[in-house]
Amino acid sequence: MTPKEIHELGLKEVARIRGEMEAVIKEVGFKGSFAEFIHFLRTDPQFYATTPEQLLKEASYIAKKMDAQLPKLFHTLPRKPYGVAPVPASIAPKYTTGRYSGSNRDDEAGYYWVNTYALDKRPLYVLEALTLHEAVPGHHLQISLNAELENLPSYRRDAYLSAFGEGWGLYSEYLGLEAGFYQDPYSRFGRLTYEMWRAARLVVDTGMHMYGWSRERAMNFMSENTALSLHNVKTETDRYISWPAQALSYKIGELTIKRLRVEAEQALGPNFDIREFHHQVLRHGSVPLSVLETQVRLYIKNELTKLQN
Amino acid sequence: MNLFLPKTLRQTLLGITALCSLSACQITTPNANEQFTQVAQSIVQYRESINPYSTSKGVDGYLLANLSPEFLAEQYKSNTQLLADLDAVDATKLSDENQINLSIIRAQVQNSVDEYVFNAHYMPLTSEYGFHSGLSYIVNSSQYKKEQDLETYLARLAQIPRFFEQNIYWMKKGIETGLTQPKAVLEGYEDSISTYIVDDVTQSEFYKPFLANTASLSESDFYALQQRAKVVLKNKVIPAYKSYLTFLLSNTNRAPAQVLVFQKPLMAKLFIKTVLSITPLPT
Repeated sequence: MTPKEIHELGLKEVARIRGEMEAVIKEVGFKGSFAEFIHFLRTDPQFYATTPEQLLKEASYIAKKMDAQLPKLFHTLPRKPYGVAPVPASIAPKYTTGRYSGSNRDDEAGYYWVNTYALDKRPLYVLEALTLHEAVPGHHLQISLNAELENLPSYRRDAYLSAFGEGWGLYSEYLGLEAGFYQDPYSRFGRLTYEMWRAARLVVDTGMHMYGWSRERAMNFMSENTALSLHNVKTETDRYISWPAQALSYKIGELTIKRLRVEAEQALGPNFDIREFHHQVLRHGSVPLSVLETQVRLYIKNELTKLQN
Repeated sequence: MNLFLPKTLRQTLLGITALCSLSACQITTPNANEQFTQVAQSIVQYRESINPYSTSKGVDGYLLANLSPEFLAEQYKSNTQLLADLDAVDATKLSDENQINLSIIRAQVQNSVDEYVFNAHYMPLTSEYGFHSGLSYIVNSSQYKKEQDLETYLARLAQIPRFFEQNIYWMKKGIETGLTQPKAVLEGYEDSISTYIVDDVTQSEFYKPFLANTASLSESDFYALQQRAKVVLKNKVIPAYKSYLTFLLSNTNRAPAQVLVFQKPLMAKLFIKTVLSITPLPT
């Protein structure tokens, strides 16, 4: 892909997601502009937990519901369990909303950290998407399976590949749709805000570094299209300026996994098995997307040969 | 031939080469896998050999990365050679698993080469990260179970001024050549440096390993180490952070207001490459 293709893909994705967002706004019967709806979401108390415990319990309930859906989507699961815990108080104020904190020790679980600092900035409507991304089937599942792969050389075990890991994380948010999550329209909107944020990155990262976009133009694009706070729009934009192309990995990774899935579905028809497909994506650990593509296509080819015999 | 391979391994490889030139090379296909594994092992060994955290002696006494022009040039040369060694492997004859291994380790080595070629070391910071904050890593990366662990840590701390000076040397090169983070991105960045500058050195996060006697030293020995740690922090570590802060504040105005780094054709090439390295090739 060229930067131009990525930029245009971003614009297309932003337009599509915006359409889905507008549909949700209509569905809940909100009278007002897109910006007014975002403002409503940012300020209405119904969308915020009142105690750290409430937020943690909500996150744990979502995680447990997803645990029960995993066998439908995966035939191989990690043996390592995970817990739900608050982000440590010492780092919480400047910390992100949630993340996965893995453990490379056998006698320790992985943890899905939820930031319980400044509860009025931790909307409940993004909690399903956040949980699926950070815990399961997102980072915990992928990273633990990777660590449990035996015989991987050290240079693969220790490698970090953003496009694979974050692509999988974003794909996991999407998988919630198939697993019966996002029944509440606000939660569906929350997932869309997360997806929009990653799609907007394709536009502004390439925009600034290749097409002469100013920082202001990038910030305006981000605040007009995403539900990020102005503070986050600024820190995000500065991150893209200072770390070119990194932010592209999330959306590009997700779209690649989805595209390979469509390829497998079309080629295998009624013989397509979602559990086996996910196994094929994860079985090599973190790999560059080009390797993932080769391996999935090899799998499809082998399956077709088997079916013909 | 790769000079980092142990001598015996080099001789084995020479043997294989000789065999290939005397007979039909294509028959010896299992050798492609062996050849690849040997090169991959030599890469892993080489990385260990330049990792200042590998042993308590560091790399020729360097306990924090040596960023001297000579050492970086040497690394570039070694990585270029390793890349050539990888490219000498006939990828088509590798097992499926080794093809994956090759594509991953090759991308890693290529990345090291590219970073040098494009002078990534001229700009050792992003809006959220920098060499000065990355150092927090050294506090928790080791366990302090023996006196030697604490001695190594102290010696490492004492090298922070040298490590900062080397980074600042490259940042000055960055300013000269226009390869810097823009002013807008650096706004408030100084806070991430000044947070390390404390009056009471026992409040420094670098003092943490000296708060509890985890190495079970005698009281007087531990006390003596604590006193030495305070001196190193006061005379070496804190002054290094102070001079970096001064450098940053006095040079921020020389950074462009809004750098669009990739207006330079060379950088545009790198950007495209970065994009390509994370995305599948067009089909």
